[in-house]
Amino acid sequence: MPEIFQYDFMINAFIVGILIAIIIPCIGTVVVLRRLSIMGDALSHISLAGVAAGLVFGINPILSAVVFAVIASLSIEKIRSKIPKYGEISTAVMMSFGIGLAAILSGFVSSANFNSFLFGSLMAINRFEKYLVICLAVVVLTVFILMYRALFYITFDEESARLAGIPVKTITIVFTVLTAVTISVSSRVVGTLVVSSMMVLPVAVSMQIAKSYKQTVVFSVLFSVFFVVSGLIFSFYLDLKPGGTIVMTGVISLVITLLAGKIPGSGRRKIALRGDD
Amino acid sequence: MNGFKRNASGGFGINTKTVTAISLILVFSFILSSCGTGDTGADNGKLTIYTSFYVMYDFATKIGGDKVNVINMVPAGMEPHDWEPSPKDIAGLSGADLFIYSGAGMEGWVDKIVEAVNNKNLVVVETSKGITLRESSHSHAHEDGEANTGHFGDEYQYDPHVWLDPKNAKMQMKAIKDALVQVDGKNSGYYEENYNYYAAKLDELDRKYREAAKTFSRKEIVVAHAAYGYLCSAYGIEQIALDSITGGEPTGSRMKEIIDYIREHDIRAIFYDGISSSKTVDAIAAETGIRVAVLSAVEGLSAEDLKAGKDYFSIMEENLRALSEALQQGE
Amino acid sequence: MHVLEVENLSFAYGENYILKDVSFTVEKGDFVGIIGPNGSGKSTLVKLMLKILTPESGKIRILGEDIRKFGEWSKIGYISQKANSFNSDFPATVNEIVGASLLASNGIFRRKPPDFSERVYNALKKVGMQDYGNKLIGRLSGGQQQRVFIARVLVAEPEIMILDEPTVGIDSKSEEALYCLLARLNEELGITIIMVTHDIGEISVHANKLICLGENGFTVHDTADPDSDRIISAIYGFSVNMQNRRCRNCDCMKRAGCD
Repeated sequence: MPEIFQYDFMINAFIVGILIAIIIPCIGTVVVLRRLSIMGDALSHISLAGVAAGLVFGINPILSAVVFAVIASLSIEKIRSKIPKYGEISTAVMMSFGIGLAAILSGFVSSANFNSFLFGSLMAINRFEKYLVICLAVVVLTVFILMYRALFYITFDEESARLAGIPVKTITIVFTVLTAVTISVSSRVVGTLVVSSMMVLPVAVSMQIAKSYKQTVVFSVLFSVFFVVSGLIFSFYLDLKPGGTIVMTGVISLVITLLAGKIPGSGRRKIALRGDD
Repeated sequence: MNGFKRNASGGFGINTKTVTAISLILVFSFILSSCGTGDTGADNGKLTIYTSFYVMYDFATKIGGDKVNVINMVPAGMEPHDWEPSPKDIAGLSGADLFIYSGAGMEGWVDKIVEAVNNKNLVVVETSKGITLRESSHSHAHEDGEANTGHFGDEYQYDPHVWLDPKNAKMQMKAIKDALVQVDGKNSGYYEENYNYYAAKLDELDRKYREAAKTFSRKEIVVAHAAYGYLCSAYGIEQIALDSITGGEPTGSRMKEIIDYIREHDIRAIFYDGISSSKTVDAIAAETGIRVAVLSAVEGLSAEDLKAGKDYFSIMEENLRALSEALQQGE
Repeated sequence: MHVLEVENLSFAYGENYILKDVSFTVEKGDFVGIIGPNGSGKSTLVKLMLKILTPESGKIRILGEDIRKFGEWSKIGYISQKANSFNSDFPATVNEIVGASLLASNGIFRRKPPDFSERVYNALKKVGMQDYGNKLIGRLSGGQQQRVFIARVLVAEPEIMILDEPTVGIDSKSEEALYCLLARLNEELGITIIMVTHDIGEISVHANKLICLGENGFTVHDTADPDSDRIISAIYGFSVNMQNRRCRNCDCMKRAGCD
């Protein structure tokens, strides 16, 4: 058995990393296609503020991160549905609020603790985190599979979905909460900086080659798992920080797929050409 | 919101005048509050001393006794490396007689704060002056005499935790004593007496350590951060650090190296400073089956420790016990 | 039973009454055109019919039931104006889009019906897009996309189809094809069609009823009525050239007895 798997801490890193790699793109596909990528960023920053608040007031930081993220996400969603015009700016405001609050609170908290939420703590996963991530993954996957069709319809055409009798409001709220919880819990493990990348990069790569919505979802999960696994392997053998290595693997993959798309005759086109009638 | 009544024409009751008045009041009170109090701290005849962090606070209190009022800048439970002074702290310093800090890069903010304080009578004491400094295990060559800033190990050349060697601690106490004598000559006898008492205690501490070190069957300790250089070199111990840079987890390959080392050398305990997060050492301990123990760098004490009456000496004794347990006989 | 009954319908945006006391009925099998100059409230009327907006006053009955109590929305197919401006990078295949509609009408959380693929295929066949099942929607032309959206509506087997300016952004050849398709659905499947459009000429050929909304009111009349040209021109304020019904060179019209 290769060296890397002889260490418990690496095995834990793989378990937790892979589970998170599976659930984040499920959420990420919907978020990206609904053109809400900025929401992912905003929620990461709010989670960070939540973490800082928890550390300052002696509450479990993951719990406070989740609470902050859920409240923020529901607020953003409420504003978006009531005043769509202000949807984007309210998300940006929320993000700035998160950054500002996190920065202020970080003055009262040891930077080592704080940094571990920024960059993640993949090398020192403890029991609590492991089980938390497993539970989270089970919940998110179950809900996602149940809501898969409805989410597809809503993401593609919200108005028609409503007319077709789909409970758009309920599903949107459930999805929003799920997004918040996923981002905040994942932030603990891979770090807030990595979570936003993991939401977007695998989806971006997948969209280069996917030929249907289902393929988009499946490929983004596969790519995401690939990024995490190879990122962990590279970081182990090259003595690099795991979080950053995972992201860089994703970036390099995206660049490769983009370049490959430019090769003539490869059949892949980025620009949609209209066919004949 | 009761300034906002509608008046007859439907506009709000607050007008430009009120707004200007309120703003001026706010601006003035802000300016006034940020002015230095100007008093030279002779309120109750005691000297006002500001210390940078816990160890300096402890030493200053011991030497100064009841002739001084010591205010510690880094709050309980905070790590001195991460802390930055606020304008309020700078204001407070303006009213002090003495400012005592360790130096050697421990307090990266010292230069800034000393410049900002406008009190020509403030005596600033760098207690580590004259102590032979060790290089930090991750020293980077400095290009151009850049000011030594911030975090230990960050860009930094020297290990600042000098007080962990009792002989150095003695020199630091002496520096404090000398400063007090300089500022408050009429009480110099008092200060000398206190200094001699604690100097003797430090000698005793040093003796205990040397005796114990003779019985150590192992000479290596595995630690979370390489903060214990002076302690180790004084007593023939080697510190193997997980990561010598504060903040940030070690990489996977470093974790593996440490785990392998622990297994190969039959290490029985892994140490951390007791105030940072123990997540990484917990993970290593869980994997290798060893204990997690505290080896304090005496940088900051939690509020409970302070209440329990701990001080430099009691903590160094605890450190000695912890080291002995890990390094003495017992296969 | 009228398929749609609108009685004294009024709607205002703020203080501006855009629809005032509009009344008309639609029978099964009608092909209704809703026309009128810009801002006359055509889209608003459609949104009221779909319960997207609530009227200030007046009544609407769909399939015999008060709209406020009506629940069988799968019987109403809607093709919005926005169908032309969705995100064309959206990676969905034609099958996925039509399929989603079928699943929704069946109950989105229920199990897939056993003849799922067949029904999707048939719906696509009705619009002539059965060979495009696995194509990404973004790669199709505007006309093709519009047909897919019609298929999406058809798969739920609606009784009424409401279209809001479906020919915007489509070339004239596709437009013709679209009208033919709608006419065919109307005649062969008996689906009642209600269509908002700018193109008076085209619609007057295929529709049997025209509802014209204007600033000063509205008119409803049969396209066979020779007077309609004059009346509608009055509403528009300029002469509109309505062609005679059933006199177009189109296969479906030939079948219907056009010259």
